Amino acid sequence: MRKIYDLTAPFCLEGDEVKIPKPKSAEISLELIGHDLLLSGTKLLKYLSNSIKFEVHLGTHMDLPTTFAYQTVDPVNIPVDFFIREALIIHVERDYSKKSLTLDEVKDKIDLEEFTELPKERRPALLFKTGMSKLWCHDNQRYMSFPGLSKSLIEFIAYELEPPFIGIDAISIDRTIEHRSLSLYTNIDEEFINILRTQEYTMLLGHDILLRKNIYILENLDMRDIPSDISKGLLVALPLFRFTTLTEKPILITALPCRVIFLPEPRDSISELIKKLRTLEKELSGIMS
Amino acid sequence: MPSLFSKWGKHVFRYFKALGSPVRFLIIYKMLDGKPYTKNEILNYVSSISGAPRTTVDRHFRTLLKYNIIKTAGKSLSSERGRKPLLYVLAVDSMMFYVSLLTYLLEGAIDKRLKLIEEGLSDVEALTEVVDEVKLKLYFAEDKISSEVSINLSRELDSCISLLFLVREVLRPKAVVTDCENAVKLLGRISTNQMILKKISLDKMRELLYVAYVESSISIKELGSMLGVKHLTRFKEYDDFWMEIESSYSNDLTTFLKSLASNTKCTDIESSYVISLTNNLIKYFLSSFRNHDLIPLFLTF
Repeated sequence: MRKIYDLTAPFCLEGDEVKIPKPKSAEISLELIGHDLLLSGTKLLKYLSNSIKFEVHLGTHMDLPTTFAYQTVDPVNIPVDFFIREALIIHVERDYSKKSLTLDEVKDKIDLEEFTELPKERRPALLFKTGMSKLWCHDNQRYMSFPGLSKSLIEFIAYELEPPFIGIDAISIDRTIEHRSLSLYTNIDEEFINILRTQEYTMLLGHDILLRKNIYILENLDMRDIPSDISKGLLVALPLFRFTTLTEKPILITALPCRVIFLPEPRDSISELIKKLRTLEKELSGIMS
Repeated sequence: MPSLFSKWGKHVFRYFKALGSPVRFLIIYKMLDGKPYTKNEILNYVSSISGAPRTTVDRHFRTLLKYNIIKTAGKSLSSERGRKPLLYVLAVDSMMFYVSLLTYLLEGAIDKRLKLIEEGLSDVEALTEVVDEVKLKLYFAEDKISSEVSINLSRELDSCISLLFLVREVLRPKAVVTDCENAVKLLGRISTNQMILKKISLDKMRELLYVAYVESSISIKELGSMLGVKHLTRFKEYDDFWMEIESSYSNDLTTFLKSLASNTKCTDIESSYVISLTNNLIKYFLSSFRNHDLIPLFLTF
């Protein structure tokens, strides 16, 4: 059996505390709780359980356009096969203490036709392996200081490749900003949403460009184990939760925590077959368009 | 040749309907090379490539047999148990099948059978899903597939691609012209293609030009300047004008169409005239061509 890679970043525990890279204001907690069940009036039954509370933007998660209140997509209705698709891995491991990832570093490693020849919904996902995941839980501060992807690279992804989503083994695709004076709002009203819609996202430009184009962003992948010779495979990035709505009121789900696994493309004759199926798929897409 | 055409159309309709399911498509596709196959070979091929159970494939196979799309072709050599399995082939040869398909689709692309084209496209969509499914299975079944199966599958996929290429060309007819540049280009091509020009009489051409004149509501003056006719004040009626044109071009359609194509400056009114004329010409040609004209037509167009 071939190796299947788990690209989900783990929740690292130190006693009861979850120590993962996160902004200070974001909450995450794991608690052990006990239950007393009253059975048939007199008999008590005890059992243990856990309660986990965390923001959906922590750990491995997929950012949705709702983050900036672009309601172009209803996360409740994303079909499950959206999350199961082929993916290309771009290896761009280097020291990211200063310079952001630029288009020049990436361009030679991407075959434009892999994307443009297919209709948007059938395109592969695009994953970047920056090597940052080795710092996950080991040096959270350095992990948090990722310089992001350059604007030209983001624009190249958004307007030339248009994948359904991209993934990265780093905290964000934008330069991480200080979260010093963040406040938490719990009562989100019209006014908050209106301010959100009209503000300028200079600091989160990458998110803004991609999410406006409905390209989702899978952050905090754990790609430590992926060897450098693997660049293509099947990605299963399933959301941990499934939501449905019982009222007309739209739900604002801003990100989906995901369990992500990756099957590298098979070798030898089977890989040839898959290549041929891809060609066939392109031909079929040609007929459809 | 309308009667002949509709007779052909009937045949084609039957074959086209046979493509209504991806499974039947694959069965026919396998048999298109004209070689005799045993039922087992076909069931194995189709169920391995589509993932459909053999019983399902068998049901589709029997449907095709019932409607004479495929027929028996005698018996093969004895199999292991001493029985002689029957061989089957497609009831028409493959060239005829392709030509029928082309005619049918081209006719449909222009006017009344768009709906069936849509159905054809939804079949393609279903096939895409099959591709997806096969791909997914291959990812998970790397260790379980023998090299023999993968080599066979690979060979079949190779030939499938070339067939689809053909279908794509057919499903995307370049016939309905919407912009002036393309219309002019097409008129230019028609004017140099004797094979096409032979198909249209001067009377029919006169009719089509008149239709374009009415549809585009171009004035005689504008039309005249497009065709390089002087002394326009003389003509009050279209008929007078046309007689002058006919005599000045001495009934030569080639030169007439050429000068029409080269004099057009694609102003709004000229565009609508040229586009209307080109579309009507195409419609006329497609309804008057017989099947066996199509291949040379495709080669010369």
